[in-house]
Amino acid sequence: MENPNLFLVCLNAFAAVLGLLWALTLALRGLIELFPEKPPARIGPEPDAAIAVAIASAANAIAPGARVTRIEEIRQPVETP
Amino acid sequence: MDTLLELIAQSGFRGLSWQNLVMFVVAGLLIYLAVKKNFEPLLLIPIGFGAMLANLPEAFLSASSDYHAKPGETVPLLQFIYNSGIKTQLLPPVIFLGVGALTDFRPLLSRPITLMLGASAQLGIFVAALGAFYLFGFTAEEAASIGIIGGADGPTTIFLTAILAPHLMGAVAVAAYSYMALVPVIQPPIIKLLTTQAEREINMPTARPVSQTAVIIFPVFITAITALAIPSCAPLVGMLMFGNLLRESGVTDRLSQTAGHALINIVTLFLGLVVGATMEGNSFLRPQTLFILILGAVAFSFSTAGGILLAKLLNVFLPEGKKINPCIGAAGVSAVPMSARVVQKFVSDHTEGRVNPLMAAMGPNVAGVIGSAVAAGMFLALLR
Repeated sequence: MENPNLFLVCLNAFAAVLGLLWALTLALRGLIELFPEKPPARIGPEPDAAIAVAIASAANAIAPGARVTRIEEIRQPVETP
Repeated sequence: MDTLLELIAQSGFRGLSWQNLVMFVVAGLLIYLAVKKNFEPLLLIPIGFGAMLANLPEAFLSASSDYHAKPGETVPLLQFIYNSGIKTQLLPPVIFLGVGALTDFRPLLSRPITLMLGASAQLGIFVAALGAFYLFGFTAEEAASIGIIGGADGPTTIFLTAILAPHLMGAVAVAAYSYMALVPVIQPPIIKLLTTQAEREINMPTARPVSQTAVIIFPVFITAITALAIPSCAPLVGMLMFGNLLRESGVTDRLSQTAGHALINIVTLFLGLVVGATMEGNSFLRPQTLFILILGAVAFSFSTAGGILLAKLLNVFLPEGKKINPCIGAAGVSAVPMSARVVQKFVSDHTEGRVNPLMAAMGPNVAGVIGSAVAAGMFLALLR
């Protein structure tokens, strides 16, 4: 290329980088609004209140101040003959 | 006796010049920095060894953009790799494929505004290019190749230089990788200079979680928009995002593992070795190389400042509670993940551990990879 005006080249290039990434910023914002993270679905039935209190007390006895946020029952697989 | 004399006459010792000897010292220094200081060892060791090979007289292990094989002549080993991997612009995009497979873009997706910090942290590219052109008398193509050092992205630097100024490959690549290794030295004083204690204390709230659907759509989306807007950046951005899609789709583990481990390692080996092989003493030991090293430091410094200053500017408009810790702007120079770690350490040290912006800094850090690829694409579009 013959004698390009590098000042203009750099100005245009930097403006293009800022402009394109600004457009991408807006597009990404739209993307995460369009496909928001859903709260994790509860697996299985609501735990029995008495069981929940018992588990919370047991956890507090081991780690004072601990808070039980989720209780999940994992059933043992049935052994096949 | 005649055979012995013949062997001595054919040995490389007779052809050793002072330039070769100086380059042995340079090669040794690169290997020393890699081994002892752990400065970018995966690249500086192949580059250092390649530089040594290139300066062994009669071994024909250097590589040059000016090489033209005579009819019937066998192309020397490293020249063959240069011709097939660098001249064809094959290796840098393949490295980007691996980088994409290794990169988690969630920190960017959860805070899209940090993409702007990755854009403004390309400032140094243009400042250094202007300096190279107007102050040091480089051509526009050479100036662009030197400026791109400020993108702090090795593959992008090699990709652009191979097209616009292949004769500067050795010096530009060494400057880029050396300064990337020196990020922990270069950035903290600039961050300190440009931020106040109150700004360093800004504790950004936890970013919102991002759905897996958005994470999978992201690479497709980015590729389509950037490649349509600036087609010349498609080889880099396209491969980066393809690698990321392999990683995030969750159904191509084997391909993702290959791209992110075996393939990127193989390509890094060849790329480093062949870049080192371009550092033949006669072409490397020129005042130009010194200017390139100076301009590389300028590029890195202005890029760091660019990211920080835009964060400060954005804070003027952002409401209380949503303000950005401006220090994370410094991570907008790619150098993933080193510059994000530098920001984390700086902020944590200056707030006695109260503020830890590592995850927030990863946003501009990965955005910088996209920003520097787009900047390289713009130079190609305007100068090629």
